[in-house]
Amino acid sequence: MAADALRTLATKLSPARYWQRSAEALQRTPPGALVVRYGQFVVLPLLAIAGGLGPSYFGIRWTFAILVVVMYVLLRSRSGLFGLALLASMLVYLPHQMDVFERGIMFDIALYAMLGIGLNVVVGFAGLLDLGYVAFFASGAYLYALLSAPESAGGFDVGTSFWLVLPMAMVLTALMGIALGVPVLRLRGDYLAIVTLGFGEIIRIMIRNEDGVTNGTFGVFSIPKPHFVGRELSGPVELYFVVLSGCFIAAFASERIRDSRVGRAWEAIREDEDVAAGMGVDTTVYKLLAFAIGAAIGGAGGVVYAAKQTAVFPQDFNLDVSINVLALVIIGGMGNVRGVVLGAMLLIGLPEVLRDVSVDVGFVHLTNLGADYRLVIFGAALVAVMVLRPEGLLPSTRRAAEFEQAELLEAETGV
Amino acid sequence: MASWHYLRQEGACVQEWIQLLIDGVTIGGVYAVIALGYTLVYGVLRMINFAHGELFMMGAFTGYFTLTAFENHSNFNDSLPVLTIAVAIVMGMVVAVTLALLMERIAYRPLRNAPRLAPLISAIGVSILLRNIMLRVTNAQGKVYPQVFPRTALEIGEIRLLYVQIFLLVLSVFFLALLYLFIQRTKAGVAIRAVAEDRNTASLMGIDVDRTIMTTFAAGAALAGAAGVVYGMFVTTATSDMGFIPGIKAFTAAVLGGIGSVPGAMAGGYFLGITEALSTKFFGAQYKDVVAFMLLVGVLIFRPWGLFGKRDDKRA
Repeated sequence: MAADALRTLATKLSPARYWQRSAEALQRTPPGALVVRYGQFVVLPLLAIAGGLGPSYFGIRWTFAILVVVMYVLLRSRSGLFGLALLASMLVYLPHQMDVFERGIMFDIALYAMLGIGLNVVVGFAGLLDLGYVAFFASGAYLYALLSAPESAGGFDVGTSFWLVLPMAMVLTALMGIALGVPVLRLRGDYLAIVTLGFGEIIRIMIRNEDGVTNGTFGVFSIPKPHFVGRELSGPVELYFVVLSGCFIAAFASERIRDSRVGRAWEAIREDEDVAAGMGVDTTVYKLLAFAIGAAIGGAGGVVYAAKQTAVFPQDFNLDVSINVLALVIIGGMGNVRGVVLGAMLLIGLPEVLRDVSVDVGFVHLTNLGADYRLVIFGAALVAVMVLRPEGLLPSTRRAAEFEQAELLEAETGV
Repeated sequence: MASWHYLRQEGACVQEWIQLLIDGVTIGGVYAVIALGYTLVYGVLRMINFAHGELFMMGAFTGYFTLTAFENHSNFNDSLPVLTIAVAIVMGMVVAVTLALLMERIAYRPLRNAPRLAPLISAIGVSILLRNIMLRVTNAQGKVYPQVFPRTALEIGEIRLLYVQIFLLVLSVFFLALLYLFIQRTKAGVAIRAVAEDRNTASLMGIDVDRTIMTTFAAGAALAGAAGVVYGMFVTTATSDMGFIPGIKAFTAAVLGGIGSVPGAMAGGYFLGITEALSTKFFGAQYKDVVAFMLLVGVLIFRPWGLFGKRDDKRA
């Protein structure tokens, strides 16, 4: 009875236009989903208050952890707008309450979210598995490092401005993306993954060995911070906001591209390349475009990374970066920018939250669980998510449907 | 950059080339043995087992723990060193096989019908998990193997051959032959080949596919574990990240020989080892890995069916 009453009430309130669903569809929705959907009007303001007061009660890290979980639930229930609003306010508001260390983590989360959004264009939209994404990140970072650092610190002593290097790096890495894309156009799936992995390693080894240009293993240091309207963006929060803006721009741009002609071409290629080509999609151009866009975002990320770290070393750009970015895209949910952001918060943020947690049960004494065992947990989590939810935590609706389709097909044909 | 001048300056003497060749064959044998694991699993599942290099690493650690246990409990020189080495190798194989079966059951089998990305990520997860467990177990310090072989080398003219190197050379050939016989002559081997050819038909012919896949993982893991122990004795240390580079190189070897092909992986391993060793003469040792990756990229782009394999459009 209560469920029926709730349904009628929901229909009466007629939010169908807003949710872009018909009243009949609403009638069919299970009551549980309705509770979540309308409960948020009550819960969200409370959460906003909790987000504000939380830090003083639970400490900033647990507030962060709780918010991530709540956000996941909200984003799952398709109440996208509110989840995003909460996310945005949290991302903007929380860093002001944090100490330097925690701000650094927020910076990392935002940076990885941005890299994830870039990689998502390649992997999620166009379906090209790229394990060498770090190459573009490294190139962007080294370009800014070399063009801005003084000669004594391994740079070229040119002193180019951050805002000038940023577009330069994006163009350079986009060209690199195309240069990588051309030879691998014919490769698919696992082979593509391995070739791109090799590409990433080659770039890292080159940076390490060409010490005449890159200063080799000594790295490049004394990289200046960017200036904005006459003010130096020196602290982690200022640079965090630079990355966050980059994130929003990248997210907005990539969602718009996804819904455009280009996005549809990518989707066609992802589903079946041969059929797409048969239907007149120029697979070469669109694949290269995906590589170029993804690479440019990675390059921009690299520039900001160099500015924040003030020093870059070849060993910062190993395979682990590529794997982390790929993992957060896939765990978050391929093809969905929101999923990528959630993935970044989970994979980059939660291990840090867990850093000083200790477990002391029976004869198990694990101190500094997060610091020492976070990569162990990370590996186990990758396996667990893949086994339990191979489509990711927050897949785009379309991708989720594709996964179902693929499983049905495979169940039928047994391939 | 490159030390092209090196050749002209010194004038390459024959012995130097032979030395490089022998070193190349030695490491190539290791690549070949590991590559078989990749190629077997790829053959039956069409999946790259990213965690295969970690089985090699676990084998090396098992070898270390076994050998140190022997060293602590009895006098090395008095007891039979041949026996201790054999026990260490068998232990390495047992541990690697156990782990491989576990990872197949937990991380891969549930994903057998999932899209191809899922098992790949799951395998990456297993690889990170194993590597970091060992990092914690060893407190991030490499373990130095007890001395099993005399450190002196057999010298023939200018050519130096460590005893452990000879052992490694012989043993890798032995394992390759053993696996080849297993695949060609035994019932389980026939089943593996049948499943690789066509899983459904094999299943209709009464072959237990699950069991065959487990056998495949076990066979690959046994080789990787054994290779880990012997390689550990050769380089005398075991570290938690030692699986990565040999793993990638072995994968390259498998691709060079045409992935899915058993003789191809063996040939590819030796080919890669020799190419790498000879390339150090031209580009310097620090570019060794770049040469291997370039080779991999080149082969995948121009001959995705492998240097020695036949063209098969289905796979590329």
